[in-house]
Amino acid sequence: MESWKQTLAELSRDRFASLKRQAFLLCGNDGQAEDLVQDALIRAFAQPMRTPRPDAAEAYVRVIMVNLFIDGARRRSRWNRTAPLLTGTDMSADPADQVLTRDVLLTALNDLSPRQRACVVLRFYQDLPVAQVASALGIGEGTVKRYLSEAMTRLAARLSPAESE
Amino acid sequence: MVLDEQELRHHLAAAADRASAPRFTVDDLTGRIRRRRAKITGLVSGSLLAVAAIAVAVPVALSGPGTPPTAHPAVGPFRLSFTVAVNGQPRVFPKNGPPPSFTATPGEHLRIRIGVTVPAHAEVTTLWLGISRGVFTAPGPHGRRPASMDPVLAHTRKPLTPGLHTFAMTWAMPTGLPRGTTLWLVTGWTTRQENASVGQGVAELVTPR
Repeated sequence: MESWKQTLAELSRDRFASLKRQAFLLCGNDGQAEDLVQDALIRAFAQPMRTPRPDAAEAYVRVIMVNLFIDGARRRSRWNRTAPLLTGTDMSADPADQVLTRDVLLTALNDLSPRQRACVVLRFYQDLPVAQVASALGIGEGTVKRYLSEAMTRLAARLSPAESE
Repeated sequence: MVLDEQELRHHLAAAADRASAPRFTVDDLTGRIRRRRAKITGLVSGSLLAVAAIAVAVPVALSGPGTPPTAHPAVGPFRLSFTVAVNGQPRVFPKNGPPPSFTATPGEHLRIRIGVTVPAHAEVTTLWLGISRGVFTAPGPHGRRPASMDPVLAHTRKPLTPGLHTFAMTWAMPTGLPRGTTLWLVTGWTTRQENASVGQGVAELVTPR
Protein backbone atom coordinates (compact mmCIF):
# COMPACT_ATOMS: atom_id res chain seq x y z
CA MET A 1 0.00 0.00 0.00
CA GLU A 2 1.29 3.48 -0.83
CA SER A 3 2.48 5.41 2.24
CA TRP A 4 -0.15 8.14 1.94
CA LYS A 5 -2.94 5.57 1.93
CA GLN A 6 -1.47 3.95 5.02
CA THR A 7 -1.29 7.33 6.77
CA LEU A 8 -4.86 8.12 5.74
CA ALA A 9 -6.04 4.75 7.05
CA GLU A 10 -4.25 5.36 10.34
CA LEU A 11 -5.81 8.81 10.65
CA SER A 12 -9.24 7.38 9.94
CA ARG A 13 -9.01 5.04 12.91
CA ASP A 14 -9.33 7.66 15.62
CA ARG A 15 -8.58 11.12 14.25
CA PHE A 16 -11.41 11.71 11.78
CA ALA A 17 -13.88 12.32 14.61
CA SER A 18 -11.50 14.75 16.32
CA LEU A 19 -10.97 16.65 13.05
CA LYS A 20 -14.73 16.82 12.59
CA ARG A 21 -15.19 18.28 16.09
CA GLN A 22 -12.71 21.05 15.35
CA ALA A 23 -14.37 21.73 12.00
CA PHE A 24 -17.75 21.88 13.74
CA LEU A 25 -16.50 24.57 16.11
CA LEU A 26 -15.19 26.55 13.15
CA CYS A 27 -18.35 26.26 11.02
CA GLY A 28 -21.03 25.79 13.66
CA ASN A 29 -22.83 23.52 11.21
CA ASP A 30 -22.53 19.76 10.92
CA GLY A 31 -22.84 19.53 7.14
CA GLN A 32 -20.31 22.27 6.50
CA ALA A 33 -17.95 20.69 9.02
CA GLU A 34 -18.17 17.39 7.16
CA ASP A 35 -17.29 19.12 3.87
CA LEU A 36 -14.49 21.12 5.47
CA VAL A 37 -12.75 18.02 6.88
CA GLN A 38 -13.03 16.16 3.57
CA ASP A 39 -11.72 19.10 1.56
CA ALA A 40 -8.79 19.55 3.94
CA LEU A 41 -7.90 15.85 3.86
CA ILE A 42 -8.05 15.78 0.07
CA ARG A 43 -5.87 18.86 -0.24
CA ALA A 44 -3.36 17.54 2.27
CA PHE A 45 -3.03 14.10 0.71
CA ALA A 46 -3.16 15.24 -2.92
CA GLN A 47 0.36 16.64 -2.50
CA PRO A 48 3.31 14.35 -1.83
CA MET A 49 4.17 14.67 1.88
CA ARG A 50 7.71 14.84 3.12
CA THR A 51 6.87 13.09 6.39
CA PRO A 52 3.72 11.06 6.02
CA ARG A 53 3.55 10.28 9.77
CA PRO A 54 -0.02 10.38 11.10
CA ASP A 55 0.65 13.04 13.74
CA ALA A 56 2.42 15.36 11.28
CA ALA A 57 -0.27 14.75 8.68
CA GLU A 58 -2.99 15.50 11.21
CA ALA A 59 -1.37 18.80 12.21
CA TYR A 60 -1.08 19.67 8.50
CA VAL A 61 -4.73 18.83 7.88
CA ARG A 62 -5.80 21.01 10.84
CA VAL A 63 -3.87 23.99 9.44
CA ILE A 64 -5.41 23.49 5.99
CA MET A 65 -8.85 23.20 7.57
CA VAL A 66 -8.51 26.54 9.38
CA ASN A 67 -7.26 28.29 6.27
CA LEU A 68 -9.99 26.79 4.10
CA PHE A 69 -12.52 27.97 6.67
CA ILE A 70 -11.16 31.53 6.59
CA ASP A 71 -11.05 31.59 2.79
CA GLY A 72 -14.55 30.15 2.59
CA ALA A 73 -15.84 32.72 5.07
CA ARG A 74 -14.34 35.48 2.94
CA ARG A 75 -16.18 34.15 -0.11
CA ARG A 76 -19.41 33.78 1.88
CA SER A 77 -19.06 37.35 3.09
CA ARG A 78 -18.71 38.57 -0.51
CA TRP A 79 -21.86 36.64 -1.36
CA ASN A 80 -23.66 38.06 1.68
CA ARG A 81 -22.86 41.56 0.50
CA THR A 82 -24.30 40.89 -2.94
CA ALA A 83 -27.34 38.92 -1.77
CA PRO A 84 -28.39 40.52 1.53
CA LEU A 85 -32.00 39.45 1.19
CA LEU A 86 -31.07 35.79 0.98
CA THR A 87 -28.41 35.47 3.64
CA GLY A 88 -28.31 38.68 5.62
CA THR A 89 -26.36 38.88 8.87
CA ASP A 90 -29.64 39.22 10.75
CA MET A 91 -30.26 35.55 10.16
CA SER A 92 -27.91 34.43 12.89
CA ALA A 93 -29.53 36.84 15.34
CA ASP A 94 -32.95 35.42 14.70
CA PRO A 95 -34.29 33.97 17.98
CA ALA A 96 -35.75 31.04 16.06
CA ASP A 97 -32.27 30.17 14.87
CA GLN A 98 -30.98 30.34 18.39
CA VAL A 99 -33.65 27.91 19.46
CA LEU A 100 -32.61 25.64 16.63
CA THR A 101 -28.93 25.66 17.48
CA ARG A 102 -29.75 25.42 21.19
CA ASP A 103 -26.23 26.34 21.97
CA VAL A 104 -25.36 29.77 23.24
CA LEU A 105 -21.68 29.32 22.62
CA LEU A 106 -22.09 28.42 18.95
CA THR A 107 -24.33 31.46 18.50
CA ALA A 108 -21.76 33.62 20.26
CA LEU A 109 -19.00 32.25 18.03
CA ASN A 110 -21.04 33.36 15.01
CA ASP A 111 -20.50 36.95 16.18
CA LEU A 112 -16.73 36.64 15.77
CA SER A 113 -14.85 37.33 12.58
CA PRO A 114 -13.49 34.15 10.90
CA ARG A 115 -9.94 34.92 12.04
CA GLN A 116 -11.05 35.63 15.61
CA ARG A 117 -13.02 32.41 15.63
CA ALA A 118 -10.08 30.43 14.25
CA CYS A 119 -7.80 31.93 16.93
CA VAL A 120 -10.25 30.97 19.70
CA VAL A 121 -10.61 27.41 18.43
CA LEU A 122 -6.88 26.88 17.95
CA ARG A 123 -5.91 28.50 21.25
CA PHE A 124 -8.63 27.29 23.61
CA TYR A 125 -9.88 24.09 21.96
CA GLN A 126 -6.67 22.80 20.37
CA ASP A 127 -4.60 24.29 23.23
CA LEU A 128 -1.95 25.56 20.82
CA PRO A 129 0.47 28.20 22.11
CA VAL A 130 0.04 31.69 20.65
CA ALA A 131 3.19 31.25 18.52
CA GLN A 132 1.77 28.15 16.84
CA VAL A 133 -1.59 29.79 16.26
CA ALA A 134 0.23 32.67 14.57
CA SER A 135 2.24 30.27 12.45
CA ALA A 136 -0.85 28.28 11.42
CA LEU A 137 -2.69 31.41 10.33
CA GLY A 138 0.34 33.12 8.85
CA ILE A 139 -0.05 36.23 11.02
CA GLY A 140 1.99 37.83 13.81
CA GLU A 141 1.79 36.79 17.46
CA GLY A 142 0.68 40.31 18.41
CA THR A 143 -2.20 40.06 15.95
CA VAL A 144 -3.25 36.72 17.43
CA LYS A 145 -3.25 38.25 20.93
CA ARG A 146 -5.36 41.15 19.69
CA TYR A 147 -7.85 38.81 17.99
CA LEU A 148 -8.07 36.70 21.16
CA SER A 149 -8.63 39.72 23.36
CA GLU A 150 -11.37 41.10 21.10
CA ALA A 151 -12.95 37.66 20.84
CA MET A 152 -12.96 37.16 24.62
CA THR A 153 -14.65 40.53 25.12
CA ARG A 154 -17.35 39.68 22.59
CA LEU A 155 -17.87 36.18 23.91
CA ALA A 156 -18.10 37.47 27.49
CA ALA A 157 -20.79 39.92 26.42
CA ARG A 158 -22.79 37.15 24.75
CA LEU A 159 -22.24 34.39 27.28
CA SER A 160 -22.68 36.27 30.55
CA PRO A 161 -26.37 37.26 30.16
CA ALA A 162 -27.16 33.72 29.06
CA GLU A 163 -25.57 32.33 32.19
CA SER A 164 -27.39 34.74 34.49
CA GLU A 165 -30.78 33.61 33.14
CA MET B 1 -17.01 41.57 32.08
CA VAL B 2 -14.32 38.86 32.01
CA LEU B 3 -14.63 35.39 30.59
CA ASP B 4 -12.64 32.71 32.35
CA GLU B 5 -10.37 30.82 29.92
CA GLN B 6 -10.94 27.48 31.62
CA GLU B 7 -14.65 28.01 31.42
CA LEU B 8 -14.36 28.81 27.71
CA ARG B 9 -12.33 25.61 27.15
CA HIS B 10 -15.06 23.65 28.89
CA HIS B 11 -17.78 25.32 26.77
CA LEU B 12 -15.84 24.66 23.56
CA ALA B 13 -15.28 21.00 24.39
CA ALA B 14 -18.98 20.59 25.19
CA ALA B 15 -20.02 22.34 21.96
CA ALA B 16 -17.58 20.27 19.88
CA ASP B 17 -19.14 17.08 21.22
CA ARG B 18 -22.35 18.05 19.48
CA ALA B 19 -20.73 17.24 16.12
CA SER B 20 -21.99 13.97 14.69
CA ALA B 21 -19.59 11.17 13.71
CA PRO B 22 -17.99 11.63 10.26
CA ARG B 23 -20.08 10.06 7.54
CA PHE B 24 -17.27 9.76 4.99
CA THR B 25 -14.90 6.79 4.79
CA VAL B 26 -11.31 6.28 3.73
CA ASP B 27 -12.55 4.70 0.50
CA ASP B 28 -14.58 7.83 -0.32
CA LEU B 29 -11.50 9.97 0.13
CA THR B 30 -8.99 7.67 -1.58
CA GLY B 31 -10.72 7.92 -4.96
CA ARG B 32 -10.97 11.70 -4.77
CA ILE B 33 -7.35 12.04 -3.63
CA ARG B 34 -6.15 9.76 -6.42
CA ARG B 35 -7.99 11.81 -9.03
CA ARG B 36 -6.62 15.06 -7.57
CA ARG B 37 -3.10 13.59 -7.58
CA ALA B 38 -3.48 12.54 -11.21
CA LYS B 39 -4.62 16.04 -12.12
CA ILE B 40 -1.66 17.61 -10.30
CA THR B 41 0.78 15.17 -11.96
CA GLY B 42 -0.66 16.19 -15.33
CA LEU B 43 -0.34 19.87 -14.50
CA VAL B 44 3.19 19.51 -13.14
CA SER B 45 4.40 17.47 -16.10
CA GLY B 46 2.69 20.00 -18.36
CA SER B 47 4.44 22.87 -16.59
CA LEU B 48 7.77 21.08 -16.73
CA LEU B 49 7.28 20.51 -20.44
CA ALA B 50 6.45 24.18 -20.90
CA VAL B 51 9.58 25.19 -18.98
CA ALA B 52 11.64 22.71 -20.97
CA ALA B 53 10.13 24.07 -24.16
CA ILE B 54 11.09 27.61 -23.18
CA ALA B 55 14.58 26.40 -22.23
CA VAL B 56 14.95 24.95 -25.72
CA ALA B 57 13.19 27.69 -27.62
CA VAL B 58 14.97 30.70 -26.07
CA PRO B 59 18.60 29.63 -26.77
CA VAL B 60 17.64 28.51 -30.27
CA ALA B 61 15.88 31.80 -30.94
CA LEU B 62 18.85 33.77 -29.59
CA SER B 63 21.32 31.79 -31.67
CA GLY B 64 20.04 33.49 -34.79
CA PRO B 65 19.29 31.83 -38.14
CA GLY B 66 19.72 28.09 -38.19
CA THR B 67 17.54 25.21 -37.00
CA PRO B 68 13.96 26.38 -36.27
CA PRO B 69 12.84 26.11 -32.61
CA THR B 70 11.26 22.78 -31.67
CA ALA B 71 9.20 23.93 -28.72
CA HIS B 72 6.40 21.64 -27.50
CA PRO B 73 4.05 23.62 -25.26
CA ALA B 74 2.02 21.46 -22.89
CA VAL B 75 -1.35 23.00 -23.67
CA GLY B 76 -2.70 22.59 -27.17
CA PRO B 77 -4.39 25.27 -29.25
CA PHE B 78 -7.60 23.20 -29.05
CA ARG B 79 -9.00 20.36 -26.98
CA LEU B 80 -9.80 16.86 -28.11
CA SER B 81 -12.86 15.18 -26.63
CA PHE B 82 -12.83 11.51 -25.75
CA THR B 83 -15.34 8.73 -25.20
CA VAL B 84 -14.15 5.57 -23.52
CA ALA B 85 -15.66 2.09 -23.27
CA VAL B 86 -14.02 -0.90 -21.62
CA ASN B 87 -15.52 -4.37 -22.22
CA GLY B 88 -18.60 -2.70 -23.65
CA GLN B 89 -19.11 -0.41 -20.63
CA PRO B 90 -19.14 3.20 -21.87
CA ARG B 91 -18.31 5.99 -19.44
CA VAL B 92 -18.80 9.71 -19.71
CA PHE B 93 -15.67 11.84 -19.75
CA PRO B 94 -16.93 15.17 -18.32
CA LYS B 95 -15.54 18.25 -20.01
CA ASN B 96 -13.94 19.74 -16.89
CA GLY B 97 -14.05 16.71 -14.63
CA PRO B 98 -11.70 13.84 -13.88
CA PRO B 99 -11.31 11.01 -16.41
CA PRO B 100 -13.62 8.01 -15.92
CA SER B 101 -12.59 5.06 -13.81
CA PHE B 102 -12.96 1.34 -14.64
CA THR B 103 -12.38 -1.63 -12.38
CA ALA B 104 -10.19 -4.32 -13.95
CA THR B 105 -8.85 -7.44 -12.31
CA PRO B 106 -5.21 -8.51 -12.82
CA GLY B 107 -4.92 -10.71 -15.89
CA GLU B 108 -8.32 -9.62 -17.26
CA HIS B 109 -8.54 -9.21 -21.04
CA LEU B 110 -9.89 -5.77 -21.83
CA ARG B 111 -11.58 -4.65 -25.01
CA ILE B 112 -10.98 -0.91 -25.09
CA ARG B 113 -12.75 1.45 -27.45
CA ILE B 114 -11.72 5.10 -27.49
CA GLY B 115 -13.46 7.73 -29.57
CA VAL B 116 -11.44 10.86 -30.30
CA THR B 117 -13.24 13.88 -31.70
CA VAL B 118 -11.06 16.42 -33.44
CA PRO B 119 -12.74 19.85 -33.51
CA ALA B 120 -13.46 21.70 -36.73
CA HIS B 121 -10.55 23.54 -38.36
CA ALA B 122 -8.06 21.49 -36.36
CA GLU B 123 -5.70 18.72 -37.33
CA VAL B 124 -3.88 16.21 -35.15
CA THR B 125 -0.55 15.25 -36.65
CA THR B 126 0.23 12.22 -34.49
CA LEU B 127 -1.75 10.48 -31.77
CA TRP B 128 -0.60 7.78 -29.38
CA LEU B 129 -2.81 5.71 -27.08
CA GLY B 130 -1.37 3.47 -24.41
CA ILE B 131 -0.88 2.65 -20.76
CA SER B 132 0.99 4.59 -18.11
CA ARG B 133 1.49 4.23 -14.38
CA GLY B 134 0.27 7.76 -13.74
CA VAL B 135 2.57 10.14 -15.61
CA PHE B 136 1.13 11.83 -18.69
CA THR B 137 3.97 12.63 -21.03
CA ALA B 138 3.53 14.43 -24.33
CA PRO B 139 5.11 12.96 -27.47
CA GLY B 140 8.74 13.80 -28.01
CA PRO B 141 10.26 15.74 -30.95
CA HIS B 142 8.86 14.77 -34.37
CA GLY B 143 5.87 13.13 -32.60
CA ARG B 144 7.94 10.35 -31.05
CA ARG B 145 6.37 7.93 -28.55
CA PRO B 146 5.62 9.57 -25.16
CA ALA B 147 8.33 8.47 -22.75
CA SER B 148 6.00 7.27 -19.99
CA MET B 149 3.72 5.24 -22.30
CA ASP B 150 4.36 1.52 -22.00
CA PRO B 151 2.89 -0.39 -23.75
CA VAL B 152 1.63 1.53 -26.76
CA LEU B 153 -1.82 0.30 -27.79
CA ALA B 154 -2.41 2.43 -30.88
CA HIS B 155 -0.52 4.95 -32.96
CA THR B 156 -1.73 6.94 -35.96
CA ARG B 157 0.36 7.04 -39.10
CA LYS B 158 -1.73 9.68 -40.89
CA PRO B 159 -2.97 13.03 -39.56
CA LEU B 160 -6.44 13.01 -38.00
CA THR B 161 -8.92 15.36 -39.66
CA PRO B 162 -11.90 17.02 -37.89
CA GLY B 163 -14.53 14.54 -36.77
CA LEU B 164 -14.77 11.33 -34.79
CA HIS B 165 -12.05 8.70 -34.97
CA THR B 166 -12.57 5.43 -33.12
CA PHE B 167 -9.78 3.15 -31.93
CA ALA B 168 -10.51 -0.41 -30.82
CA MET B 169 -7.79 -2.13 -28.86
CA THR B 170 -7.33 -5.19 -26.68
CA TRP B 171 -5.01 -5.46 -23.75
CA ALA B 172 -4.63 -7.69 -20.71
CA MET B 173 -4.11 -6.20 -17.25
CA PRO B 174 -0.76 -7.44 -15.91
CA THR B 175 -1.01 -10.26 -13.40
CA GLY B 176 0.24 -9.85 -9.85
CA LEU B 177 -0.88 -6.26 -9.42
CA PRO B 178 -1.66 -5.41 -5.76
CA ARG B 179 -5.22 -4.51 -4.81
CA GLY B 180 -6.18 -0.89 -5.44
CA THR B 181 -3.43 -0.33 -8.05
CA THR B 182 -4.23 2.30 -10.65
CA LEU B 183 -2.99 2.21 -14.21
CA TRP B 184 -3.91 4.88 -16.73
CA LEU B 185 -5.13 4.82 -20.30
CA VAL B 186 -3.26 7.78 -21.66
CA THR B 187 -2.90 9.68 -24.89
CA GLY B 188 -0.19 11.85 -26.32
CA TRP B 189 -0.84 13.93 -29.41
CA THR B 190 0.74 16.65 -31.47
CA THR B 191 -0.51 19.23 -33.90
CA ARG B 192 1.27 21.59 -36.24
CA GLN B 193 -0.95 24.40 -34.98
CA GLU B 194 1.33 26.36 -32.61
CA ASN B 195 3.62 23.32 -32.78
CA ALA B 196 1.84 21.90 -29.72
CA SER B 197 2.37 18.57 -28.00
CA VAL B 198 0.00 17.31 -25.30
CA GLY B 199 -0.08 14.38 -22.86
CA GLN B 200 -3.19 13.54 -20.88
CA GLY B 201 -5.06 10.77 -19.05
CA VAL B 202 -8.15 9.30 -20.72
CA ALA B 203 -9.33 6.80 -18.11
CA GLU B 204 -8.07 5.04 -15.03
CA LEU B 205 -8.00 1.26 -14.65
CA VAL B 206 -8.17 0.27 -11.00
CA THR B 207 -7.73 -3.22 -9.58
CA PRO B 208 -10.40 -4.16 -7.02
CA ARG B 209 -9.72 -3.57 -3.32
